[in-house]
Amino acid sequence: MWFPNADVTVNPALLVLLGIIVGTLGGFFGVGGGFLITGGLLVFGVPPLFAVGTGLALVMGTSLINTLKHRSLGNVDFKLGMMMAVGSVPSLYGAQQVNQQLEEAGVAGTVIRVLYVCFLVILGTFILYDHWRVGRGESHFEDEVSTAGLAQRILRLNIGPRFIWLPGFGKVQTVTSLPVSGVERISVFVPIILGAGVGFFAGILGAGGAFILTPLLIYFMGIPTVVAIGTGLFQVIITGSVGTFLYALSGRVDPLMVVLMLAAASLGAQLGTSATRVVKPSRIRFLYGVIVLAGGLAVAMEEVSQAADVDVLSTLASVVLLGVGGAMCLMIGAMMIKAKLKDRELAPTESD
Amino acid sequence: MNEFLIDLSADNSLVWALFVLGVVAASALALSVVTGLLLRLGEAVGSRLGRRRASGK
Repeated sequence: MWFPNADVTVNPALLVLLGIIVGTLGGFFGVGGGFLITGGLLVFGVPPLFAVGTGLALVMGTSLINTLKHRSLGNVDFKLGMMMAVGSVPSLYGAQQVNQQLEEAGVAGTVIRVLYVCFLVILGTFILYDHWRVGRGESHFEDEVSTAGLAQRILRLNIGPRFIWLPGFGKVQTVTSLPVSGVERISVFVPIILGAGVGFFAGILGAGGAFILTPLLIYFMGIPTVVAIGTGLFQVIITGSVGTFLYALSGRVDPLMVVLMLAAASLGAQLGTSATRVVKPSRIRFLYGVIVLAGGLAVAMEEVSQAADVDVLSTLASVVLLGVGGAMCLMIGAMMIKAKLKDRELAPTESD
Repeated sequence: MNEFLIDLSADNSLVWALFVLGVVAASALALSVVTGLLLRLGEAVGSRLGRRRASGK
């Protein structure tokens, strides 16, 4: 099938497959899946800038679908998401300026990839370490993480003035509660500062930012895993829209390709989101750690491929990422089927 | 349609960017409703079949 804007011919079955994987993982882990989409599209022969631009548009679309689904399950804290957006949107612009400086210095690609690898490896290792520590028996609560004490201290932080003056609203209190997240009292500056940090990193790495935000909400703010997933996705709609708009302005998005993959992603999203209802939060975090490490490995291979000029490593990196993503989707599907069968066994029949 | 997409992207970048955002957002909303309905329909059919099987009909 020929895609007019990207001026490339791609097998639509491959795009559908990629869409299903991205939708499923997005709904299950609360990530946009930008790193997966861009890698996949590059393997399918889509030009690099179109792969990034089209990927961002798909990230925006799948995040919208997944957020709506998570909203119906009561997993989205819109208040928290909006507060974080206050910090993340301006810092996205700041990150773009830094990226331009890096590009002018001719080191943007290497800096971004090295930063990506370090970040993904540290994050993945930490998540798996936390899973091991909690699973060792130090905690008996399913949604508890090893950093619960740190999260409590962060939530109790008193930053900035207690009141600020806002045009149209007058004197506004800066301490609020987040009922959906189960937080009784928090300074609004805490999520704004965290949002700014996430936005900056996301902007530098050219990603939606949920893969940073979701673990940050879980481990540093003590937000329940499923609410962190839903709120992370809501945040990606905002960052993904900004990214899509900027790439579309330079004509680097193929809407036909986006719509085709989005149709497949919407089916995957139903599976991924529904699975969060039946899979234990600790298992979701463990699988997330695995896919983050696989992402780190893929980006490291990509960097070596660029440095040593070995093209085959670049293709292998995307294949590893798609392979792990595909295997993860099959596991999610199997867990759903297992849970459904268990429900059916436990459900009373009419003859009982 | 291909001509239209190529021309629009080449002629006016701002209109094109807004068009892309609109298409993605509208498609996502429509697909979300459709797949949600399909899923509910599937669940309803599945549970009806299950009940029928359980009652031995």
